[in-house]
Amino acid sequence: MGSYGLNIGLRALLTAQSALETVGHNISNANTEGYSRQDLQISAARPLRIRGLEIGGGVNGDLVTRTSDALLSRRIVAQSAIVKRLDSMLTGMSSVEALLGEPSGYGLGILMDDFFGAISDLSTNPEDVVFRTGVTQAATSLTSQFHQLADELSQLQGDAAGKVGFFTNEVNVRAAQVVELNKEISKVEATGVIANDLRDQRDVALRKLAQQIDVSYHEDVNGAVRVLISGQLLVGPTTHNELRAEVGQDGEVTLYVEGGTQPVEPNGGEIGGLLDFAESFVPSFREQIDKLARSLILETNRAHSTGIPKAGGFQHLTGSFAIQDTDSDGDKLDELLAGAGLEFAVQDGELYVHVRDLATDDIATHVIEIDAQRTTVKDLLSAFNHIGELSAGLDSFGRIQVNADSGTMFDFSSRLNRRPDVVGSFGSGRASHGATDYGPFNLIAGSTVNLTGPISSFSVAFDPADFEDMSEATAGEVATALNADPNMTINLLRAVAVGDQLFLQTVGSGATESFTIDGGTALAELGFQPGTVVTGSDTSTAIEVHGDYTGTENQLLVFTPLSDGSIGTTAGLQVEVRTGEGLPVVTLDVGPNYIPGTALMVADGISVSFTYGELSATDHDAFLTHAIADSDTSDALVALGVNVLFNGTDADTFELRQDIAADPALLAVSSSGAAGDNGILLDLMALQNAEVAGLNGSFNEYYGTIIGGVGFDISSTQNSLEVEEFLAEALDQRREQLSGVNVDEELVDMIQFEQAFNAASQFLQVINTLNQEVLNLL
Amino acid sequence: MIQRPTQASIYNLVRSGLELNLGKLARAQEMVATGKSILRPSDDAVGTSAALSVHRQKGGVSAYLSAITTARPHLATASSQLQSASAQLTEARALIVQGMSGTLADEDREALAGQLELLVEGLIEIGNSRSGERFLFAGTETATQPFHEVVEDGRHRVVYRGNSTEQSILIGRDVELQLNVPGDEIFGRFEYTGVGFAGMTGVSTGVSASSGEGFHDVHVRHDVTTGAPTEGIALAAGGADDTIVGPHTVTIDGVNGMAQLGSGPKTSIGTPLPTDLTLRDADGSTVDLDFSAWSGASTSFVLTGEASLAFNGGAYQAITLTETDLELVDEGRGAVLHLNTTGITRAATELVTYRGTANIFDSLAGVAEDLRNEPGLPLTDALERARSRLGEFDRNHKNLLIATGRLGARTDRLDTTEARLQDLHVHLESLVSRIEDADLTTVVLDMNKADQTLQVAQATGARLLQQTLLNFLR
Repeated sequence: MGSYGLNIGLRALLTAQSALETVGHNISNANTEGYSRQDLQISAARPLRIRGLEIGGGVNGDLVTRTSDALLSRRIVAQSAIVKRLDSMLTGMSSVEALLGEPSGYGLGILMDDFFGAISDLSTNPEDVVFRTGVTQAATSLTSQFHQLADELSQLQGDAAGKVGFFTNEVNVRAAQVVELNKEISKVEATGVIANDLRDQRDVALRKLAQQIDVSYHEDVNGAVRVLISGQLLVGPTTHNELRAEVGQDGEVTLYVEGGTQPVEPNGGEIGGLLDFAESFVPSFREQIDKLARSLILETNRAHSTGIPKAGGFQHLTGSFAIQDTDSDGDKLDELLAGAGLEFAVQDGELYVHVRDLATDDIATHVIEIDAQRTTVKDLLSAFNHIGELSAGLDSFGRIQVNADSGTMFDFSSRLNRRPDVVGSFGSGRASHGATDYGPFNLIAGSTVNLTGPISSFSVAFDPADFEDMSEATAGEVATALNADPNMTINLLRAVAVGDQLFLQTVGSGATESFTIDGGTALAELGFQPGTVVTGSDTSTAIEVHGDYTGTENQLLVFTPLSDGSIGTTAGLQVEVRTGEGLPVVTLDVGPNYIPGTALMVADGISVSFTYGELSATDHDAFLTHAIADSDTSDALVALGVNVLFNGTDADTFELRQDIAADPALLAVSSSGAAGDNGILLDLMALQNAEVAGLNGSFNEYYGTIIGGVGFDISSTQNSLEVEEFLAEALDQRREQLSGVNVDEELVDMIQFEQAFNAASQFLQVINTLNQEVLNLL
Repeated sequence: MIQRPTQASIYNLVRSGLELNLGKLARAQEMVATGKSILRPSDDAVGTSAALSVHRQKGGVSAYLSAITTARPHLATASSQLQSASAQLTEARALIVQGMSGTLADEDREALAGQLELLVEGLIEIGNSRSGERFLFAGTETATQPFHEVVEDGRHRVVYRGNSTEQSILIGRDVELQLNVPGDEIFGRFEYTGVGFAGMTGVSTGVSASSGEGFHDVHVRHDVTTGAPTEGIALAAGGADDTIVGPHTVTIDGVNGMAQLGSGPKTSIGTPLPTDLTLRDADGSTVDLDFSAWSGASTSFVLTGEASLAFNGGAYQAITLTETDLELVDEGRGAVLHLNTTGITRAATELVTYRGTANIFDSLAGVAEDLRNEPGLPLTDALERARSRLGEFDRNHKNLLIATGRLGARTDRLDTTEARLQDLHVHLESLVSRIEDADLTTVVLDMNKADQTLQVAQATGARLLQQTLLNFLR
C-alpha cells in the first residue's frame, strides 16, 4: 500500500502545486492586455483494483486551458475596426469644424456680411473713393477667406494621405507579428497542448491590426489564422503580404496588397476613417464651398458686368476667361459660344451695347443677338466690329478685347437713352424721308437710287462688295453704301438707318432744305416712291425720354406719327408707339390739348416729351428707343469675364479683378452713367437675400446649410462613435467577465489549493508514519 | 448587470465613470467660461443653422443701419440748406414788394436790385451745395455742379446740369428709401402751361403751340409813322421817336386847345405852339407832333405806325398786323414762339414768359434786372415786367417749400426706419442669444450635478478599489 498511497499523495501535492502556479500566473497577469484566465483542468486518476476494491488513484492535472470565446474575440476585433474608423473620421472632421470659425463669427459668414455691408455703405456715396476702397477690401477679405479655407482643406487632405502611409507600415508590422505567432502556435499545438498565452497575444495583435484597417480572419486546423483585407490575403500561416499605399497626382490614395491586382477598399480602422475623411467628407464639403464661391462669382458678375464705372464708360475692356480651341483645329474663332470651353454658360439672349460720343453726349444703342448653339466667337466679334466706333478681337490667351475709338466710350448698361432721336428722323428741321419697307433688303448688284440735291442730280449704284450678303442687305449697310458716294456729300445729303428702316436726309436743317428722290431700280425694294420731294422745316422737335424702365422684358419702342401736323396744335395729331414686333403699346395725343414739353406716359415707368415741331407721317417719321430690363440676357459678359467683379470659378481661384483692386474707380456701380447712380449696388445688395438658382435659397441660407451640414455630420459621427464605443465596451466587459482575472477569486483558489497542498502533505505524513510503523514492525 | 466582476472590469468601470463625469464638468466649464452653448457647429447642428441664419439677418440689418448712418448727413445738410433757401426767398419776396412801389426813387430801386442779386448768388450757392464731395441737388449726377450761370444775348441765365433721378438706398428687402430731391424739382420745376405776355405791345399767342423755357423778349420796333396830319400839324422828327404801331387817331380840339391820341389823356397844346408835343395813347404808345404851323382848327386824322419784330437777340423782321400765327424760333435756347400780331398797338420790348418753366434764379434775377431798368424802359413798363415775373417767383417759392417738406418727410422716414431696424437688430440679437448662449442657471445646475456625481463616483470607486480579500489574509 505504501507506494500507492505515496503516489496518490505525490500527485495531490504536484497537482496542488500546478494549481497554485496557475493561480500565480493568473494573478501575475491580472492586468495584462488580452490575457485570458487560465484554469488547470484536474481529474481523478485512474483507479487500481486492490484487494478487490476499486481504489482511486488520486488526482491528475490534465491540461491548462484558457477561458475564452472565439466568437466574442472575433466581434471585438470587428468592433475595434468600427470604433477606430469613427474615431479617426471624427478627429479629421473636428479639424474642419475648427477651420470654419462658426458660429462664433470668424468665418465666411461675417465676411459675406461685411462685403454686402460695404456695398450698402457705398450705395449712399457711390462716388466716394473711400467707400469704394471699402468694397474692394471687403471683397478681398472674403476671397482670401475662401482661399484659406480651400488651402487648409487641401492641407488636411494631404495630411490624411500621409497618415494612411504611416498606418500602412503599422499594418505591416502587425501582420508580421501575427505570422510569427501563427508559426509558434502551430509548432506548440502540434505537441497536443494549447498555446494559451500565444493565442492571447495573437488575439491582441489581430485587434491592433483591426484598429488600423478592417480585417476578417479564420483559423485553420493547425491553429494558424489567415487574415484578409477586403477579400485579399494579408497574412497566411507562414508568410504575410505587404500592404502598400499609392498616392495619385490628385492626392487620392489607393491601397494594394502585395500580389493583388485590385485595390483594397478599406471600410474600417484608422485607415478606413482617414480615407472616408479625405475622399468623401472633405471633397463633399469642398464641393459645397466651391459651389458657394461659384454662385457668388456668377451672381455678382451678372450685376456688375452691366454697370458703368466712375469714368462714365469704357474705352478698353479685356475679358477674364479665355476662349479655348476645343476642336483643336488651331482656330479659336470657329468655336460656338456654347462650346468654347467657357466656365460659365452662355445663354440664348441679347447683349446691349451703348456707344456714347463724348463731345455731343449722344448715345447709340446696339443689340447683339446671341444664340449659344449657333453664334460663334467670330460672329460675336464681328457683331462688335459692326458697331462703327468699336473694334473687338482676341488676345494671345484667347480673351476677348473690345476697344472704342477715341472720343467715344461704350458700356453694357440698361440705361435709357434720354435723347433717342440722334439722327433727326422724327420731326426734325432736316428734310428727312423714311422708307416704307424694313430691312433686310434683297438688292441686285448695280441697282440704283437716283436723287436730286441742291447741287446736282445723281445716281448711286450698289456694289456687292459693300455688303456681307447683298440679298440680305441691312439698312445699316445700305446707308453706309449710299454715304460712300461723293455726290451725297457734295449735295449735303446722307442716309441713316433707324433700326431696320432707311432714311434719306439733308445734313442741314431749315425750311429751305430740300431734295428729291427721283427714282432708280433699287427704290421699290428699299421702300421709296419715285418723285418724292422732301423739304425741311424751321422748327425741330426735341424729344426727351424720362423715367426708369420698370418692365421685366427687354423692349424696343417705335414711335411714329399717325398724320402730318404740328405738335400741340394740329387737331387729332397722334404719335403711335409700338413694340419692335409691331404690337401696339400706346397712342399719344399730341394735338391741341398737348402742351409741348410736358411728359406723356408711355409704359412701365417711361414717359416722353416733345417740344414744338412738325411731324410728318408722309415722310414716315420714326424714332426708336430701347427699354432695357436686363442688358445681358445672354450672360455673355459673365462667361467671357467682361467687366466682371470677380475672376475665378471656385473657392481656390475666387479673386477680385486685379485692376479693380488696384483702382476702385473701376467698380462699375452706376446703371445710368451718372456718378451718383447706385443702381448696380442696389442690385448687388438685393442678391444678399435673393433666391439663387442651384443653391435652394440665398447665399446666406446655403452657407447656413453647409455649416449646419458639417455640424450634423460631426454630431452624428460623434453619436455613432459613442454608440459603437459603448458596444465595444460592452464586448470588452463580456470578455472581461469571461476571461478576466478576479484576484479575490484567485485568492480563494489559492487558499483552496494551499489547503489541498497542506492536506496532501499531511496525507503523505500519515502514509510516511504508516510506512514507519510498518518498518518498525520489521 | 455584471455577472462576474473582475479587477480589470472594476478599474475600467471606475475609470470610465470618472471620465464621463469629468467630461460633463469640462463641458459645463466651457459653457460658463464662454457664455455660449454652441461653440462648434457639432454642438448643435440645427441650432447652428438657425443661429447662422439669424446672424446673416443681423448682418443685413447692420448693413441697412450703416447705410442710414452714412446717408443721414446728406439729408441733414440738404434740409438745412433748403430751410435757409426758403428764408432767403421770404426776404426776397419782401424786397420785391417794396421795389414794386412806384413811389420809390430810382437809386432805392437799384439798391433793392443789388440786394436781390446778392440773394440770387446765395441761392445758386445753396443749389450747388455739397455734402463731402457730392453735390446735393444734382439728382444722381452728384459729381457735376448742377447750377451753372451762362450768358446768352448778354443776359445771365442759370441752367441745370444735373438729372431728375432720385437716389435710393435699400433699407430692407425690396424696400427703397429716396435720399434726395433733384435740384430741378426744387429750384425749377417744369410745369409748363403756356405762353404769357407782360402786355406792353398788345401781342398775343398765335394759333400754333409754342415751346421753350423761361423768359424771352419780343422786341417790337417802330419803323415809320405814315398818315398825313392836317391843319398844319406835322410829325416831329419825321416820326422817328413815335412808338405807335398800327392806326391811331389823333383828335385836336381847337376850342380848348387840347390834343388826344386814341383814347389817351387829353393834352393841352399850350402856347407858344410846341414843336415837339408827345401824345400818349391809353396803351402807352406815343406820337410826337410839331404844332408850330397849326392853324388852330379842330381836326382829326389817323396816324399809322409800321413795325418790325425781333425774338431775343435775333434779326428784326418787318411785320404786318394781320398775322395770326407768326413763327419765331430761337434755336440757341430751343424756343419756338407763335404770335398773333393783330393786337399790336405799341412798340416796346415785350416780356414773354413760358409760364411754369423759369427757375427760381432766373425769375429772381429777372425781377432785379427790371428794377435796375438798365435799358431805360418807362417805369411802368419795367414794373409791369417785374410783376409778370412775380408769378414764376411765387410758383418756385411754393415748389421749394414742397421739396423741403418732401425732404423732411424723407428724414422722418429715415428716423423711423432706423428706429425700426434698431429694434429688429436688438430682437435678432436676443434671438441669437437664445439659440447660442448658455443658460447659466441650467449650466450651473448641470455643473453641480456633474460635480456631485463625480465626487460620489470617486468615493465609491476608491472604496471599491480598496476592497480585496488580501486585506484579510494573514
